[in-house]
Formats: sequence, structure tokens, C-alpha cells
Amino acid sequence: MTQEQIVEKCRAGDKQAFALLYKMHAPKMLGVCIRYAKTREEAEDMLQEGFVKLFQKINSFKATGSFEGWMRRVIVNTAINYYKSQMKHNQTINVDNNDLSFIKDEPDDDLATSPVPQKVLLEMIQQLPDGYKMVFNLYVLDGYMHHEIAKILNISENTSKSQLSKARRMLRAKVEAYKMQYSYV
Amino acid sequence: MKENNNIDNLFKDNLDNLEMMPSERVWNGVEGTLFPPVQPGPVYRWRWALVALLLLLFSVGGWYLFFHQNESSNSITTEHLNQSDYNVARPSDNVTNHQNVKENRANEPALEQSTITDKSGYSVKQHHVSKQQSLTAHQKSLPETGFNNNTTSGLKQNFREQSNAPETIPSVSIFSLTSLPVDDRMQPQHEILSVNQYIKKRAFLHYYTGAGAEAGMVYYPATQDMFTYAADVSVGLKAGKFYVETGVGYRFMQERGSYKIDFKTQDSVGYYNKVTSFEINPQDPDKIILNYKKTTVFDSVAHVAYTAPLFKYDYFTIPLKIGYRVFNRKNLFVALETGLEYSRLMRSFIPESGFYFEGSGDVKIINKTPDRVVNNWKYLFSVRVGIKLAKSITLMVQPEFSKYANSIYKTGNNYSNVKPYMMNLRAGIYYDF
Repeated sequence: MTQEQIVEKCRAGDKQAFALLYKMHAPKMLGVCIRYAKTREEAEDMLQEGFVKLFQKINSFKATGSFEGWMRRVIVNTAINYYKSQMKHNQTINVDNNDLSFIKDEPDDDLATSPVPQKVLLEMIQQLPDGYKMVFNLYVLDGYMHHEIAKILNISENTSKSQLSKARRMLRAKVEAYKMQYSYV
Repeated sequence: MKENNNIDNLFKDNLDNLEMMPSERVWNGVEGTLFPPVQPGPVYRWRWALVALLLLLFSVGGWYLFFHQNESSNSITTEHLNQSDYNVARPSDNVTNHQNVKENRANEPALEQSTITDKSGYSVKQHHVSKQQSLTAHQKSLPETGFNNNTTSGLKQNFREQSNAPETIPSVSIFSLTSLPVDDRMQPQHEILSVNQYIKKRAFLHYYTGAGAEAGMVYYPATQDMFTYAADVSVGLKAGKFYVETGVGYRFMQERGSYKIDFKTQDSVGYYNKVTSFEINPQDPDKIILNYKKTTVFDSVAHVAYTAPLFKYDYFTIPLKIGYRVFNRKNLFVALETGLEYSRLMRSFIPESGFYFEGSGDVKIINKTPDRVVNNWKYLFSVRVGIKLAKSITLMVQPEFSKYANSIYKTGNNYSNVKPYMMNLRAGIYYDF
């Protein structure tokens, strides 16, 4: 059965088709959610909510575009809404406290090819402050533009750019520290 | 910008196609939300049919046992004769199953019979035995009346004194017990009871009543397990090893509720450099110096909080149980018991959410704990241990397992299939009528 056929059956309310769709795409979508969550449990909650919305909105999918792209956007929006609803007062970002002046903005040609494990990179993102994490994920990994991010997160475009810049500096520092610790050549 | 591209590419190349296997609970949650199971309707009719069948069995069985038992209630065996109830055994009584009386006339030689009354007050029929037969041989064929040898010897002695037939070796068969002295009556072989006691003991049906209390745990599948307790009074009918019991009770249950609170606060979301003043550069009059002040931007931010106060529920209950004694001794019995219990929700105590957050606004409180159904049924299974404390008083101790037959919550929400089970320990005092 092709993906188009599966989607058509899902539109018709076929439970087996939806189970198949879930089986095909859930691992990758969990990989998306885990970047927005602090813990695996939180990521699975986002994934569950995302797939429920997916099935409820499946009739709004236009067959002209990529289904996986559309699914990814639904999942990302669900993750962001989940983050917004779960955001706690004491975790609100206060950008004034993040002094990153000690980090030198020097080019590092080896950075892109350093063998930092995938799990470590994921942890580095999860450890970012919430605002930085959201902007970095949306811009770098999910391809949103700053004006779109500003609208989604209800912030200004300048704030989005500022938080992205700070996220990059923080991640660069973490990667440098990891490389120094494990001395990869 | 190169360093930005490097860090971006590092994360993008490694995490863009990241895949992780979700746990089973994710799909279970999705499936449960999108495809909730349908409540089976016809089962309800089967349950009512089972209740009707149990009541019918109870009625028919009780009618049969009660009326059938009355016809034979006057049958008594001499196993339970009391020495003081000398009028139990009369010559005219229909004495059946007399263990100690054996008709042995076929073995007795033909004898000339005559009735004599000796000075002790016995009415006896005399058997004359031919002198060719020994007394011992004849005594073997005598009915086993339980008389002691002294009495027999005394009779024989009396007879010899009165007999005018020295050639015969007389012996006696006792037919009349109307005026037997206590010592010479048949010795009872078993427990000594009065007639009324005997009839009561041998009666097949017994009514009893009792009161009890129980305590235990309720196991909820989705929330915290909670303590529960109850009290009841009951009445039952015992028929041999079977018994049926019903009554009324009152149960107290608790549950950890759930409130979801959506609220907003004014939080900092960023900053900007605010121009506070400006002045003309004294060194270059064509340029202006701007003075900035870093200013924090506040915006309304949404938050979610949860509270879980204790919800309390009171139920009125009517159990219907049937049991079978698998182990039965004089002062101890063990029975297996099963049945149904009807419960009706009488009262609910739903507390406030208890939420407070200084500076919060636009507060919306949602009670996520579903409403409970009013009428419900439970299946019961227990092992009853009875310890006799006195003649008619028994202490019952029984661990009990019960499970709701239907969901305790009203249908139409995600909790439509919650059927908690309980483990209780019940103790009670029962009185036999």
C-alpha cells in the first residue's frame, strides 16, 4: 500500500490504516519532539497529542504537498503549544543573566566534522534555556524564518535573532568543552 | 557567519533524521482517545438474568428444604437420648435405627413364652431354653440391649427363685422399658442432648443474623490507590453446607481528584535599548549622542498548574452472597463465598481546587475528575472463616476481593472504562437462631 492510499484510508476513518501510519512515522516524529522536550516522557506526551491532532485534522491535508512535511509541521506546532502550556513561571528566560562574553567568536573549521555523539548533541539542546531551545530548533532544524518564529512564540523578530545568537554561542561553548574533555583528534 | 554555519550544520546533520522508538503507552493513549471502546449493552441483561436465577434458586431451594425437612423432623435416633428424658423411648414409640437393638429371633430356638413381672418392676417375657443348649450360646442370640451383666444376672437370679422348672436355663428378652431405673437404661453412645436440642441440631435449615465491618484498599487504574471502609448488617439462611446471605451496608470511598488551572502572569520576555535622552556631540556638532537604557519587556504569559485534593464518596450497599462450607468442624469452619453487591452513591464531597498564585489573572479552573455513576454493581469473592465463640455466636473473619462490574464514572469521556477493584478484610459477629 502506498502512502497516498494509507492517507486516503485514514481520511475514511480506517483504524488499521492509522495504526500503520503511526508505525511508519512515529519514530521520526519522536525524534522531532525530543528536541523540544526536557525528558523522554515529555516528548512522548507531545507525540501522543500530535498524532491525535494529526488524525483529527487529516481531512485538511491537501494532497498537493508532502505529507511528511505537513505531518512534521503539525507535530512541531503541537510541541510548541505543549511547551507554551507547560511553561513554568520560574523557568521564564531572563536574557540579562546569561553572560556569554567569555565565549570567543572564533571560527572553528573542525566544528562541523567533530565526532560528537548524537546523544550528546541532543542533550546539549535539551539543556538550553527554553527560549533559546525553541528558537534554535525552529530556525536551524525545522527551517522556520524569524518572522514566523516571532509569530509562533509571540515575541519580536529581534528577540528571535538575539536568542538564536545566544543559543549558538552556548552550544559552541558546550561542544568546545566536550571536545577538550574527550580530546578528539 | 561561518562559525554560525558550522554549529548549525553540526546539529542539523546529526539530529535532522533522529529516530527513537516510542513506548507502547503512546499508541495506547492515541488509540484510547481516537477509538474509545464501545460499551457493551447486552451484558446488562445477562447480569439481571443471573440475579434472577440466584433468587429463584434461593426461593425454590429454601421452599423444598423447609417443607421436605418438616416431614421427617420427628425421626430421632436413640443415639442422642438423654438419661433424664426417659420418656423418649416408650414401647409404643416408633423407634427406628436403633443401633443397639438387633432382631435376632431367627437364631433363637423355639421357646415357650410367658410374661412375668419380677419384684424389680420389669415386665419380661420369659424364654425357656432347652437344657441341651448352654446359657452362653443362648445369650449370644439375645438382642443387644446394652444392659450390664449385673442386671441380667439379677434377673436370672430372680427368675430362678420363682421358677418351678429347674431343668430350664431361663433367659430373658426385655421388651418393655417403661419403668427402667436410670442405671439400666441403654447407655447413650454419642453426645447427650435434649429432644428439643436434638431436633434443632438435626434441623437442616438455620437462620442467622450478624453485623460486620471491613477496611481495605481501592485500586484505581489511573489515580492513586486509596483507603476504604464499610459497615453492614446481614441476615442469612443456612441449608446444610450451603448458605445464602443478604443485608444492607454503608461504604466510604476516597479518590485523588484532579484540577487543571490555566492562568496568566506578566513575565519578562526580552529587553530593548530605550533611548532616554540625546545630546549634540560637542566635538562634532553634526552628530547626536544617544543615551540608552536597557529596558525589560513584559508580556502576558500563560501557565498551567494542577492540584489534587481528596474527593470523598458515600455508598449504600446491598450484598447478595452464596457460600459453601468446604471445611466444617465443631468450632471452626471455612467457606468459599461469592456474590454480587448493589451500590448506590448517596453523597459526594467535592472540595475546591485550592489554587492560589499571587499576581495571577484570567484564571480558569477545570475539574478533570469525572462524575461518578449513581447505581453500580460489584462482583464479590471471599474466603470466610468462622470461629464459634459460644453456643449461637460465631466470629467471622474474611478477606474479600471485589471488582466493579461497570465503570464508576459516567460515560462520554476518557475515563469511561474505569472499574476499580478492592481488597478488604471483613470481620463480624453472627448469631444463629
